[in-house]
Order: sequence, then structure tokens, then C-alpha cells
Amino acid sequence: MVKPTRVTNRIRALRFEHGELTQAQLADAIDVTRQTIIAIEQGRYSPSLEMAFQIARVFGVGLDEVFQYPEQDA
Amino acid sequence: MSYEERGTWVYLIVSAGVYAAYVAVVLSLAADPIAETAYQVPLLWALGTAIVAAIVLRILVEIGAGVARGVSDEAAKAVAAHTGTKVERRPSDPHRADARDREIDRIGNQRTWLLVALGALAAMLMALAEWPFFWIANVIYLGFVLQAIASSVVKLVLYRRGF
Repeated sequence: MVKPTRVTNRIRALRFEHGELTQAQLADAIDVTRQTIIAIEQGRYSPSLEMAFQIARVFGVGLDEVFQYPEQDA
Repeated sequence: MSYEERGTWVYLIVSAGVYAAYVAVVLSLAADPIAETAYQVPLLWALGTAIVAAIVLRILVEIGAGVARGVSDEAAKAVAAHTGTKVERRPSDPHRADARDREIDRIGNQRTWLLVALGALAAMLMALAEWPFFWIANVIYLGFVLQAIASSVVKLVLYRRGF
């Protein structure tokens, strides 16, 4: 199935690098549901810019360390 | 499945189910010509039943979801006890819409509002042409139901497939 967004992310890896943070804990930290975190991790939902900054802030990293956008056309 | 997604399923099932029951009742009462059918009481019952059924089914679904979560937590604890691993109780998801839910709701309504508008337009043209009230009331109700079903389907596809 073609993913609806070309934005990729390292949220899953970052969660494990930050003391195995659970999806529920990350969801609580940015005030969304766990299903929204799952959808973002699986590339089924591109978060708003504000939510993207909130996620990056939880991990204490820059936005481009969490989200990537391919330069070449797929 | 999130709280809002479960709510969308309830809305879809109630809208379609109550309308199907309404059509069945009206057809069972059908007069000749059909525009003379006593549709008023079934229509009012359908509207009232849809509201009550949506509330009751929503409560039952949430109770079921809570029970299912408890069973799965107990199973996880049993597995953890055997394997000697630590398992934490999952927090329940919040019973409110988040940014993704609101966006899905907006897109679902935006893509299907035309059905309600078409129903209203058809009703206006029927009134201008002095059609029987039976057809005018039913085309408005049909417009509401079609929009409810279409918007629910669009939202469920967005929840499952992403956007």
C-alpha cells in the first residue's frame, strides 16, 4: 500500500533511546491519543508543525532529527 | 481503536440501521398512492430512536472496550508472570478528540456536506413544485442519512489508511 505521506520519522528509535519511552507516555507528553502516535510512527499521519515541534522537544532534539523528507521524487 | 473512531462506528451503524428500520416500517404501512402513507409518526420515532440509540450504543461500546482492555492486561500479566518480565498497566486513552481526530472530522464533513445541501435543494424544488409533504420530508431525511453514512465512511477510511 502506498503511504499517504512521504514524511518519515525516527520516533520509534528515539523512544527506545530515551529510556524505552512508551507510545502512551509520549502521547501524554504532547496531549494526543496513543493511536495518533502509532499513526505518525507508521507514516499514516503527518503531524502539524506545532505537534512536530512538541515531539522533538520531548526528545530534546531538533526537528530534522525526528522527521525527514526525501529530496528526490519517489 | 481510539475513542473518537469508536464513536464514528457507532454513528455509522445507528444512522444506517435506524434509517433501514424506518424504511421497512413505512413500506409496511404503504398506502396507495404512497404519498398518502402515514409516515409522520415513524419519522419522529426514527429521529428520537437515533438519538437514544447513539447514546446507549456509545456507552455499551465503551464498557466493552474497557472490559476488553482489562482482559488483555490480565493476559499480559499472566505471560509476564511466566516469563519473569515486568509489565506495566496501560493507561486508558483519553475520552476526547485530539488534533488528528479533529482534522479527520473536518475532512469527513468537508467532503460530504454537499449531500445535505443537495437534499435541501431537492426539498426546496419539490416545495416549489407543490409535491406532497411525504416526499419533501423524506428527501430531507435521506439527505441527512446519506451525509451521516458518507462522512462516517470517509472518516473511517482516514483513520485506517491515513492521510
